[in-house]
Amino acid sequence: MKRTAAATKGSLLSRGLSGGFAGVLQGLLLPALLLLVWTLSTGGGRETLFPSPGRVFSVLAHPATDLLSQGSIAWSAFVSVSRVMVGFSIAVLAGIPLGLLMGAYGCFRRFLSLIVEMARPLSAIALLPLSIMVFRARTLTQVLGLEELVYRRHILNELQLGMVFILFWGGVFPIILGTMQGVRSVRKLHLEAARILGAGKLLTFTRVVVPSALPDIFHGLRMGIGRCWMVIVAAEMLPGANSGIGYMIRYSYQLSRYDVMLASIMVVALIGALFSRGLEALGEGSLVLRSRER
Amino acid sequence: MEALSVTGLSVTYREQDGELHALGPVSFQVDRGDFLCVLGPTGCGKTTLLRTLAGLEVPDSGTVTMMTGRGGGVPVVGYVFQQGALFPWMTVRSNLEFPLRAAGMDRDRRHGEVARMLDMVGLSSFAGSYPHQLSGGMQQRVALARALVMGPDLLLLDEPFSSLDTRTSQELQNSLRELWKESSTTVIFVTHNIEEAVYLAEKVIVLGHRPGTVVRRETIHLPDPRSRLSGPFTDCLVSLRRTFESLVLGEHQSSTKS
Repeated sequence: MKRTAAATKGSLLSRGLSGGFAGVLQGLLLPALLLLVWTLSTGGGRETLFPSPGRVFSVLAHPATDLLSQGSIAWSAFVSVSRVMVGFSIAVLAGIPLGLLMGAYGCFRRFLSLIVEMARPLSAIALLPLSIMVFRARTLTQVLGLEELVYRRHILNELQLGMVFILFWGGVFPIILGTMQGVRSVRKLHLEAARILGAGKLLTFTRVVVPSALPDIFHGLRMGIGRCWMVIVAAEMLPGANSGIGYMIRYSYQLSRYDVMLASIMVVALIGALFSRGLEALGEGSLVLRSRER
Repeated sequence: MEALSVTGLSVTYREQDGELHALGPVSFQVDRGDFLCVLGPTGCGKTTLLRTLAGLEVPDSGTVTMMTGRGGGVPVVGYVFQQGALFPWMTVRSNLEFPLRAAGMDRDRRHGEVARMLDMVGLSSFAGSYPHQLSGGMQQRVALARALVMGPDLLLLDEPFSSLDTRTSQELQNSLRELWKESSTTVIFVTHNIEEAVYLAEKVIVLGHRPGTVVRRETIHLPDPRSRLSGPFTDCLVSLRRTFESLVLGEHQSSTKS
């Protein structure tokens, strides 16, 4: 079982690169094939209902161009991402402390678990009308009292409280449950070691419980942001919304601009993947450390 | 002078499906600065005994009396688990710093103490490594260092080398014996390995099958440095093995018949 530090580092690196250049090629094979099929089935200058890759990519190639007089793809994506960032941040700020408390204290768990279990499967989209009923069309501009200062196309005007609330709802439960799970799965041996080494509650919590819960917390965050992204795109497609990438999908469909629609869908997929990958990269270190323990 | 006195100690685990009388009653004393091995078969409650001494289990009867620490207050107790008790998310250095941090020591003194301890166990060049980057033997060396860095009055070890191969295990036994000779720490070492007990201990108590009670007390009269190949060592080993087999295995046979 003797392993040198250098050898272990090597295997960690290669694991991170997932097979190097050949692996990247393998991963690109299927997308390339699909692109080929798409090109062939829409090519030859025939005017098909389904837009050719060339038309879709020419939309994507000019993300800042105003489309259908509703703003550019980049702006729409920025609106959606901003909404998610605000809603998700609130979900993180509420979810992690709640999860920590529920994981650490049985009384908190019992007090909150019924509500969490009932609320969790309730789709955030189902709450959109309620949310709009409660928050009306209030945006962050009004909450911050900046009506005088911000111009019409300012991002703050697009951050409706109703949207933020359902994003919070969509994101908070995976975060709570992941964090709670992480705290509860701290190994008894490590808690006993901390106790014998003389650690008090605070030190045990900050240096033992939280680090060993981190991989599960990151898992919860990934699930949370994934759900937020699904929720916002769906919410923006509903009547009442007039901005965001989801709105762009619906509006371009109504105008039969399928090239714009497909380009928007691709942007949704890309941003969703980036969110997930970004958090994965952040959590990687803690995952590696815990999974390697013996 | 006695470092530790155990009288009529008995432990019962209570679980949903009933009770398990795990240990005792046992009584024994350990002198200050002595090295006691608790030898017993698997499941006799020797780990339970050690955990109770460390305050991880609550006895249902009996008393444990400990000396005052060197500072005059509560004695500092070090504990080495069988394996895997290092914090995997901390480097070797941070693992060793943890008890010092818990004791409220400031940063500079912590670093000094950790450097001194790592030097003593020969791990200075691995200060920045994570436990999973080390071999099993080195991990247990770190665990030993983490237990010793506080300068404990009493050091408890629960079969710390049992998961290692023979050579690594012997290397660590040599180190432990040397570290003990240089310090004034009282050591209680739990094992099922008779040779390990003969090599390490000054005193040995033998526990019988569950619920374990003390069936034998032995003193090991071997001069330092101890050699596993010397005549007196083998004589001592054979004699203790004979005792162990007649008392413990004999008892086991009679108990399985009934």
